[in-house]
Amino acid sequence: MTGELHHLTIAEGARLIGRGELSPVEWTERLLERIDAVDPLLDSFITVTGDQALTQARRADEEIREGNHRGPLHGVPFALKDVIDTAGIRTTAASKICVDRVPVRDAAVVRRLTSAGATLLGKLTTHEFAQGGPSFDLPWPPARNPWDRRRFTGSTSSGAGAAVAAGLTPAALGTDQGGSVRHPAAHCGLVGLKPTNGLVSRVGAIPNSYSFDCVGPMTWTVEDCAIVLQAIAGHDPEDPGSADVTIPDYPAALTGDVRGMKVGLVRHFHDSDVETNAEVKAGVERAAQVLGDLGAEVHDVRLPSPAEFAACQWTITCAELNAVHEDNLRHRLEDFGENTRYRLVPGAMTGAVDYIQAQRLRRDLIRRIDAVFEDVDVLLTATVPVLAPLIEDMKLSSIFASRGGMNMAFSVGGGPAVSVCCGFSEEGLPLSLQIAGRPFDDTAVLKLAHAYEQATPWRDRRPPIETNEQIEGAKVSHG
Amino acid sequence: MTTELECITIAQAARLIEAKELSPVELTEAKVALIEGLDGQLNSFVTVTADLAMEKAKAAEAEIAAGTYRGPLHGIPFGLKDIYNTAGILTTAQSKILIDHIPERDATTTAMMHAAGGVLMGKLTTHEFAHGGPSFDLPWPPARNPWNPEHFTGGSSSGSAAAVAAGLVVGALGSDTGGSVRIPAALTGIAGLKTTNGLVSRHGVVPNSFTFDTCGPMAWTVEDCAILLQAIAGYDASDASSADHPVPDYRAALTGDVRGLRLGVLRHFWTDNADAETAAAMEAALEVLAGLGAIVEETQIRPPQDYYDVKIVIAESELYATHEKELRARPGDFGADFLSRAFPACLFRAVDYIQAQRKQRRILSEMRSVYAKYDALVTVGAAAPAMRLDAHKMGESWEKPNVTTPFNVTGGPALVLCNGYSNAGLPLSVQIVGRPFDEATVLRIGDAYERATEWRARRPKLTEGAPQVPVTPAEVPTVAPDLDAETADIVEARVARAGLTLDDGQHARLYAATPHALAMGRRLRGPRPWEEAPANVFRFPRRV
Amino acid sequence: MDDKVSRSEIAALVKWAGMELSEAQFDQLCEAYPHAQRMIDSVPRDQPRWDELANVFEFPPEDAEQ
Repeated sequence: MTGELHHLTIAEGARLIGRGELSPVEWTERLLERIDAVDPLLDSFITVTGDQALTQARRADEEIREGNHRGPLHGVPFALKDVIDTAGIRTTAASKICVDRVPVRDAAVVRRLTSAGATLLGKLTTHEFAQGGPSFDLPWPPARNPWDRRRFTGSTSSGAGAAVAAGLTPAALGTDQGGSVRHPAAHCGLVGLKPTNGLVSRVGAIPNSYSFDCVGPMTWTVEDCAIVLQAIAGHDPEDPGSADVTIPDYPAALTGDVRGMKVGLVRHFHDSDVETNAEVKAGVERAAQVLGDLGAEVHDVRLPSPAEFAACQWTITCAELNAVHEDNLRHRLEDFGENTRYRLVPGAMTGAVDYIQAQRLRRDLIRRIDAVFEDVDVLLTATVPVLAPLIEDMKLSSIFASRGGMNMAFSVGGGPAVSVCCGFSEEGLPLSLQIAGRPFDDTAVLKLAHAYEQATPWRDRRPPIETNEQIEGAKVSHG
Repeated sequence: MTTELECITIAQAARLIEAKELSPVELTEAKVALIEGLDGQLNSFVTVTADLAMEKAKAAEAEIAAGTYRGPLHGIPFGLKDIYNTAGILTTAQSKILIDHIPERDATTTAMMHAAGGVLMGKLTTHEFAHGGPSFDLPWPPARNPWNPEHFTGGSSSGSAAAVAAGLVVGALGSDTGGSVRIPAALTGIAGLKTTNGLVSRHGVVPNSFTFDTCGPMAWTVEDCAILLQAIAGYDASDASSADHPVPDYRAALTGDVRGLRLGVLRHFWTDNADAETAAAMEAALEVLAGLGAIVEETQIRPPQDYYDVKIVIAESELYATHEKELRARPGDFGADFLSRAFPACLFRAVDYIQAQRKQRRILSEMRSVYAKYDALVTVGAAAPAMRLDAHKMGESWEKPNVTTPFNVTGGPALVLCNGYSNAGLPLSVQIVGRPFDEATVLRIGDAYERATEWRARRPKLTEGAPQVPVTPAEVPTVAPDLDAETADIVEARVARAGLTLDDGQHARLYAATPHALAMGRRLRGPRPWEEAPANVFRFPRRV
Repeated sequence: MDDKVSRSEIAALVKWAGMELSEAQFDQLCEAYPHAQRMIDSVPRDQPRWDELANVFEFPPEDAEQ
């Protein structure tokens, strides 16, 4: 696309590697250089694993030269939100609590990506324990949005959003319990998939919410997202929430043909339920038009209100986070960031009955979403109601506001939901469309997202980070 | 014939019915007469469906005469705990809240019993919503123990136990959330099986705790329990926790041969708290089992309190949630005992509930090594014979654990059967616990023991038409214990947050339970590995 | 239900949770708590008696296989 090595997608890179026109070492080296140069502006990495990445890349090189090409991720660099365990590599959850934590075992998704031949570049910034917002009182600074470094990346796979958008890695894995993959993907202008609950193993991912946690891919294109999903999806008996289902061929489903696909536009989310930026609204409406032009049948549908989803999700997640961290919250509360304390402590006082009622509400909400899926194949909403805000404008209490409103519907629902870029605001910030599907029909959302992406020019535009790189290059080299 | 029909078992009746030597109509008539003659003393029925039963019996007789014999429950009179939905028949859960509740549909298990050709005699007394103790402030009186009507049946499948022991029905279904099949089976000298969680559908059975509710058979013999279980076991997509697991032939497992089976004896469940007669009966039972060729060894699991904390925190919270609307709006419509158990759940935090769920997963994993070593575990079915009804202490369930609840938490099958009688003539019992879904083994052991002993020869002695023995209920406690100021502040804050309006008595009984409830939450704290996820997991609702 | 929660009530809830907060942390909790309470209060309490939870009990696979 752009022709620059650091902006190579997985699919392009894999093709070049397959033809012997690109060596994994060359690709990895280029990205490590770029991380070195650019990341001080973005703070998207907590740990860069340069030596190990190069070792893995060299091994990939050899294997491929020997004719043993494992597939589309062989020699492909990736990075991980720093809540996903890596054997021998510090995994911090961006928390003082875990500042020296070195797991002995790779997370299941890491084992899968490694055995597909992928190359780990490092561990990405998140908000503390994958919750809350940007904080300046943690051992690591918050990530910056590559489209405007004064702005928020979205939460909580924040480093993943920044790093993929800025061309520091073609792929990242994030985690999503209320929008934490989709939200940063939206603000950073990339593709982020919350897979169906149970599709991807969570073994070795530091839990946030047992009920909602998902591990999902974040990439520049939908095709790349499908390639990564293919590698990480599948049953894992070690994860109690894992589902034993047949895994389809995701990339093969990206035919570009969406004629006759029934698309439900959840217009009331942005029209009336959630206060939504005008450019965001216009972006969704234009996207619906594009899908209609592609032959999809788009019509309005109604879901329960975002407020219901948010109450359900918050009540459950916050209580589960408190259970996960109970011992530390009781004995070393001051070691958590202010943002975490503000958000978590009230959840220590949620009643058991409140939690159970929220769990019963979840079942009811799923049934109501199911009823809507009787008539449509996928649902369409904005991913976030606002443009990426300035970090300095963000308040602690904003976590109780409606930011997750559009994401939480599908965290509660549990089906797949992908965010894809659907244009840019006048000042150049990404707009994003959320496409949600029936449980285990991740294929449908990827297919529609891919067709949309192919029909629109948004993938040609990258954040204006190069300018910064040139300007700030000297400063960075002082390190 | 009457005397014989009074005591007939399912297996005996089925042989005669199949051979056309006994007519279902004759058997049903005998049972209707017995109910009329005895239930005034026992209060084991909330609703008697005599006319419907006669119709069913006639239909069964006609079918069998026409050559369609459905199996060992065809033409057998049975009863259902009054939490099983029965289409067109009042289903009250023994509560004023459901005093007019006539379901449109049968519970899955009700329908299965009908399909097997069973003859429904009526709906059996329980404790309110299958919870609470014997209560005298509900629309229906508590059941009486047929061995001595001044004594408690145990609960909450109290009417099921009394009716089976007295021969008013040949078999019954109960439910077990913390011992509600096994405790009354123990105290009335019958056999009762808590089934593996997920084996028997709970669809259409009034919920107590979604996590722990199980439905199970109660009958005079273990063999009869096997026959009933065969009819009701199996996957039901309408029950979210139903397990898609193969159902073996339970009756075929009753070989009488227990040679070489490894039995782990949980003596620590009874050494400190059982009375001498119970302990002696246990030692004798272990000798019988050893004599039959089983390998009997002492072993230990956690102390009962550990399991009890897990169960109470989860189950009381779920029960409360199920009834929250009414608990807020019209608490006075519930009995005092139910409320003394439900209200303290407002003192459990969501974190306590989740930690209890995580601890349950830990417990399930610990049990794996126990199951690897033993084919079954053996312990007491109850720590003492049935107490007098007037000795019931409201609120006691907060104070100490029982011997049945641990196996609701471990989740596998647990069978209680009679292992003797006290000097006062009250039944004693043994409990046999198995691996999840291994009902066949516990039934085999129970059946072999039953055959090797004489306990089934004795029946309660009741006189038809005799007046009911009066019982003066124990006083309901109304004085609040002193709580320290900090604890009292917690209770008041929680009552306010939960939106409750309590009268003085309810308030006093909440205060009485408070130290115990808060201690349970505290005991569940502590560091746990992150990967120790709650035992309950998210699953997409099944499309039915 | 009463939407207002007093500081003394929140202090009691903190004891309930077995937590110890500094004065500043407690002030922050008093600011955050009403937001949380609004969320919780909007969860319905009148769901049908039969409605189950989204999370259900299931034996771990190694137990179910035995």
